[in-house]
Amino acid sequence: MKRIVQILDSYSYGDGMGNHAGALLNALKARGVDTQIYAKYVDPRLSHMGKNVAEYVPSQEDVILYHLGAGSELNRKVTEYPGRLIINYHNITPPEFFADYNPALEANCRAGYEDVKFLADKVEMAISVSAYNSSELARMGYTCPLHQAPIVMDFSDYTKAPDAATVEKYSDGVSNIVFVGRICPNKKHEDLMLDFYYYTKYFNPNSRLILVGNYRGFEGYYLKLKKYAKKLGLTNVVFTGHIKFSQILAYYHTADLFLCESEHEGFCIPLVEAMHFGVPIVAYDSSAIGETLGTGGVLLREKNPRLTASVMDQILRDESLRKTILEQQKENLKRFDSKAVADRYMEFLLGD
Amino acid sequence: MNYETYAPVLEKAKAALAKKNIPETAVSFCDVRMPAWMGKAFWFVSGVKRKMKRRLGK
Repeated sequence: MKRIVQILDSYSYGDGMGNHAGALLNALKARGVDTQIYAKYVDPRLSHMGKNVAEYVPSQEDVILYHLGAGSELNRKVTEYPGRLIINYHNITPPEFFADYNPALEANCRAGYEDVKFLADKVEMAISVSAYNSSELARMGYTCPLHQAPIVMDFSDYTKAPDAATVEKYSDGVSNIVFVGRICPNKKHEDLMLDFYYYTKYFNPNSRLILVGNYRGFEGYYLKLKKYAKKLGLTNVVFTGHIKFSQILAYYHTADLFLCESEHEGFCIPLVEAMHFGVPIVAYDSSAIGETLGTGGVLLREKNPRLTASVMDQILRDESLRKTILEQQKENLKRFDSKAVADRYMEFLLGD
Repeated sequence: MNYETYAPVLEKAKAALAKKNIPETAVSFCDVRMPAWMGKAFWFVSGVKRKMKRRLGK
């Protein structure tokens, strides 16, 4: 039987791409497939699941699934291995978003896009985690078969106990508007704050905005956001910074509404998480957000903060509307069933 | 598909908004000025704190 080798730049703990690779590894192993993860950096907590790429002994028989989502020296190095090369495209954030805050990441993303173009005629197949990503590859000259399969999500992680202190602190009768995602410019936290400004001032003063996410690498953006909150007179905005997984779970458990204004997502895992936790979603329609959301949540065509605030109010006040949205979200969640998604990957990777 | 499903929600939200006559805020994110060194200094201090915590095993 063929061996499936997953290669990625960083196999990091708690990271979307790393979790996907790990869930796929477990799914492949459960099906009796010989498989291994290799990365340039392996988080010590994942050393039982991944090895350093320097230890990889290439074989012509291997099927290499290369996870591509940033600039990396591996992006070109993988073409030197003799096995069948398939890329799993997670998308790269357009570098322009980072220009004012993180020049190193801006350069990394710019190089990443060049690498994606370089790989166009060197891969046998590309599996994108969204149709949006596939269309981007097609635009960049990919003529190989382009398939789509979402991120493999291990939902058993979400059954772990949420942090009790956080649950208690935020179960105080105040409406919790939550967004989960790294504090970084493409996620448009400033737009979330403006929506919230209108919501808390004109619709529901008994509310707070909780921005869950690490700001490492974007300290300048984070400080600017804090200053913006002050200028808007918002005292009820919570920046959690980097927190434990059990605390993230606690924020989902106490959330009344999930609000997303991101302008670039190759998939957007937090939307699926919000669906899983039964939190109604309001999201701006950009990049892959519409397709991940499906009919499971209210999608907004335009950025109109006052209208968004009014939509939030409708959902939080109308019990039957909230119920309808949650039913649609539950239905939409079936598309991300980890077993079915892993089967699709198997089909692509092991098919002749 | 999503737009059709939730069109009535948007209509209701628009109607509710029209009744409230909410003024637009003059505060814009673009007007928030932040010297570049502040972000760098914050990044440096956070990094030192992280390293200290790691060294102390917290």
